[in-house]
Amino acid sequence: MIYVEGLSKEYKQFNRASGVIGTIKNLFSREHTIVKAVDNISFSIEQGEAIGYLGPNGAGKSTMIKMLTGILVPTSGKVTVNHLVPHKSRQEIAKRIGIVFGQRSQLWWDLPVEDSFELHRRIYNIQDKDYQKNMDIFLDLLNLKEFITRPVRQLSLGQRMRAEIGLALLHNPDIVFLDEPTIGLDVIAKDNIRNFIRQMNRERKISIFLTSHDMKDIEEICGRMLIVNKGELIYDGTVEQLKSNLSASKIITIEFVVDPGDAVVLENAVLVNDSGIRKTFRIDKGLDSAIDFVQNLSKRYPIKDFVLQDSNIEDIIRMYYRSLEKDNSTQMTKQEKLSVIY
Amino acid sequence: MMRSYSEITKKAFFRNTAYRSEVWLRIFGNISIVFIQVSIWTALLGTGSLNGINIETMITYSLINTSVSMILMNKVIYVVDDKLKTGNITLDLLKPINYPLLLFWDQLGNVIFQVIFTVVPTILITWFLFGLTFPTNPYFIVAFIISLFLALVISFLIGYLVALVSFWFLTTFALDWMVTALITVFSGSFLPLWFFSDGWKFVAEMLPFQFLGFIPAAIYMEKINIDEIVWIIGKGTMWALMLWFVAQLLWWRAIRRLVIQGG
Amino acid sequence: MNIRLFSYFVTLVIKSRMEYRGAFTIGVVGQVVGYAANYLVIWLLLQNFNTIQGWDWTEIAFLYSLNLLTYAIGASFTYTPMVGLDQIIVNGNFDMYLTKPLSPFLYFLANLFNIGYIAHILISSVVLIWSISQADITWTLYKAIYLLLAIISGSLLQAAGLIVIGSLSFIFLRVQYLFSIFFKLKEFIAYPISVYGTLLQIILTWIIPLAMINYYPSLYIFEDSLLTNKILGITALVIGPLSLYLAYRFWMYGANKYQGAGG
Repeated sequence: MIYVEGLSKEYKQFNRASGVIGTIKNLFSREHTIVKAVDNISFSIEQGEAIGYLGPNGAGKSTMIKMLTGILVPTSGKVTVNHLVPHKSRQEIAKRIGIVFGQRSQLWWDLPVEDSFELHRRIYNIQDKDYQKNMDIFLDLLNLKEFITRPVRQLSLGQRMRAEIGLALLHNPDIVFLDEPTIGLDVIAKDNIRNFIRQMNRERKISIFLTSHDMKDIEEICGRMLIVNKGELIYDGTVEQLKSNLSASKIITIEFVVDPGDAVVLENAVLVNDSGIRKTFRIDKGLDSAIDFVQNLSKRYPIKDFVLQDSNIEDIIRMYYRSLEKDNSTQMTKQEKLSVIY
Repeated sequence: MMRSYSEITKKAFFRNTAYRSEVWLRIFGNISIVFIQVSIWTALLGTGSLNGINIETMITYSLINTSVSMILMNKVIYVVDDKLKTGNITLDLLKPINYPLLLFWDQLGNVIFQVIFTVVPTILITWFLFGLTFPTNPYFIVAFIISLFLALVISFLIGYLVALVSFWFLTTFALDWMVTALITVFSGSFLPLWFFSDGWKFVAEMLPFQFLGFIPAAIYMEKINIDEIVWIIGKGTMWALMLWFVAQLLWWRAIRRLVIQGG
Repeated sequence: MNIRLFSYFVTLVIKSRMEYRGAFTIGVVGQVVGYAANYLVIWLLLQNFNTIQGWDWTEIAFLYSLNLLTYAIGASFTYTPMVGLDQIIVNGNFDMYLTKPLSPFLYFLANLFNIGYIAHILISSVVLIWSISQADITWTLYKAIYLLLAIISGSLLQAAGLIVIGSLSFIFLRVQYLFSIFFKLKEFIAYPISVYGTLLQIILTWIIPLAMINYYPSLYIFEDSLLTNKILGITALVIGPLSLYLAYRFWMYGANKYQGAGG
């Protein structure tokens, strides 16, 4: 139902020169950098799939959602949703999708929640019986009934988010895009929202496209995850697969007596964090090799202490990004500087 | 102490430089206003005069009044209002500086910026376009400078006072509209008090708004009797003192309320 | 978006504003006082001169009210969205308007409809009706229909002006100051444009057709004998819808640019 091939989005970022001369220069010419927010990404999603779209800040997650929903036009590549090109048939597609932006509200701040729902009903032309059916379910599952008559400004963040999600699902969309739906919420509110989304996905076969910083959101809701970094897709597979791949690897933090410098190059190990006498390595071959590794190392450099970490999925992904960043910093191939004269 | 005040002014001045690209637009706006007024007065007066006022007088009047309106500080209302509502005012109160004075020096930075980048160019251009007369009597020149200072202080105090009042009403915007209305009529912007009927003139003279445009312009044009000037400036000073007194009173009440509410 | 949906948006806007009934009422009073001041200045002026280029007080009041009323109607729909657009884009909130099965233009206007202009509408229509009853006009059904159409066309023209400037937000970072220029330009039509030179009259008729808002419709209703003025009076009925259409296209062009189509 979603088909993406070779999709890219570039932005121009203007560099403002400072100072008096810089200001005058800005009037006539502005240097800009081309930033590739999404870089040649391909994937496809079937009806009923739940996708976790994961990546650090600035990895191009929101840009991807905006291209899939027709808010932004891609720079290059192909994208279709329900066999339609989103930015060309934006209004048509909008009827079939629901969107929740965790940081922006669709609710009317000063009015009771129910007014926003009524407006939504009118915008999407929802039939009375469908509306009634959904409202009955949401009032119960999202526990909307405890606050539906209260003005939005009086609600807690968790209540507000429950209302936002109900709103996004009111018109029975085929797919729901959720951009950081649990950001800033407490554990109970997060749990409630995750359960609801999972239930909607399982029972109604609604596709889910979820971005989140919270790995637990993705573990609990999504069968499949896509990991992006700096605009590029670096992983596409199931959550279990990623876990089993990564569980073989170990993270070891070693505290040296004297900083051995960058010279510590070892086979089987990747240096993922370096803060002087404390260095963190990733070893890809399980526990035995980890112990071998420490033994080998201690022969060459005096070691004060070491910590063997279990492969917490969140940590590993963070480490993974960091090691990627190191590779990129040396070769700035993706950014080109241009100067344009108006 | 003086040094820290001038620092505040300097900072405000440079804050304005961020908007220097808008300076041209502002000059254009001013010239439009003067141009409209001159056109109307030309249509009304032609080559003749009414009550001894001819078109040359009105050109100078329009220009001086418009220029004075550029340096008024009554918009300080939004600065205070914002700080009272966000509670940021407590940060200012911690500084070892008298708060309204701090605001005044801050506003002065804006005014100096306006004078250099808007008022002076506007005057030069309109002088070139329509001509302009200058005062010759040094006594009037001194009085004019004093009246400008009074315009600054009185407009500042009015804005400050209204901001404090709005602390209770919680609606700055409506009060600002009303103040602007009063200034429009009674500062003689566009229509000088010479043309007011007796009843309206009496009201205008009972209010402080005439010091925000009409008085400076009339002094500049030497249209006030020399022996009346001292009396008028004295009256302006009395207004400033009175407004200051009321403002202090309201200020302490507002602070007390702020402290009780806990910011 | 159909009219029923649009009016439901308006209902929600009114309901929201009524949550702060006190502030709203004070706001209405403030604005009525503000505009009353402008009427007062013109009235005081005409106490001295009787007419401006043959226009007496009731006629000027009609001219002025037609401008204010059409502005208020146009601004109810467009002022808040257009003035806020640059910030809405910078804050990333514009995306929301591209997620519904609605025209982003109409959704944007409906969502930010402003009921606050009720004050402007109140004072301008009261004065308009008063001036109609006072002025020496022979009323026919045809003329009444003309006036109604002129009000609609004028409102569309005023809205178009605000939309065009707002659309520039898609291209430049800050457009706030352009709005103040627009309001300065509108000052030109507070009086009959015959007070200005020929060049400016041509500009105000053909380049920035602000005179189509109130000047030519007023002449038409006062039965000016010049044939060209009659023709321009009829033209004024077309200019409004036409300029709104062009403004809409310009806005949509900007929105497309925002989406990153071809740029």
